[in-house]
Amino acid sequence: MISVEPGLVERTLDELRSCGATKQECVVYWLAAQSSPTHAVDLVHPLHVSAAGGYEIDSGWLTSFMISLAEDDRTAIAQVHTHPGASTEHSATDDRFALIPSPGYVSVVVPWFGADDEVAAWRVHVLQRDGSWIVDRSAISW
Amino acid sequence: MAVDKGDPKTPKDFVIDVIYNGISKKLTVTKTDTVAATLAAAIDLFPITEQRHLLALFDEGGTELANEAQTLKDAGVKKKSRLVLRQSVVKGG
Repeated sequence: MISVEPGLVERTLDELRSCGATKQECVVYWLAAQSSPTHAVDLVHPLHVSAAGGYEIDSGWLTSFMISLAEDDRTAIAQVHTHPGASTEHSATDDRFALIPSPGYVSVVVPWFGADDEVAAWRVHVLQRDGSWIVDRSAISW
Repeated sequence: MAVDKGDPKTPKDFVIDVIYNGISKKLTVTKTDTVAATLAAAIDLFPITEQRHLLALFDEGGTELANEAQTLKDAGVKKKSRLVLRQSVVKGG
């Protein structure tokens, strides 16, 4: 189960809202220390392009980010991204192209481009060994 | 990837670092190993789902080692090189 540093959820919403401006999807990644890989302590807002129906991360940024994680002894444990409407189900793209394809990696989908303060509406998806995802809100200790 | 050090025609092995999600691990390779073989060995170092085909190796400059038939020598991989193992494309929608 992932625990979340106080204030991180609010910072996440701020990033998603300021970037997406309720018109475009956005994503942030939650980071943990490698020595405590279930406690999200920080977030990073990647360089990406986006539209109302999706986002894609800059390839050069991804490589630099992975190297920086190693140098800082950090690891990415979850991604949080917005959807345009009420649906928080994973799309086929969400399933296949997540940042980290490891069992236990968490993907949170936020409806309405993050305009709503209601965190209870966020859906938590957890990656399984066979590549499938299950919905499990208890994967995060809010 | 084990080599017989007693055979002078066998290329010497060397160690590279493979980084995946911030974790760095050592991998022993030879200059004649292909990118495909190195990628498979790199994936085996980490806990990764069955969707292995979406992963690729990138050099520190961000260039994907896209030609899987290429040898490490031809791909510019040397002793102490750091390669990043990651999804070729990361996106959502």
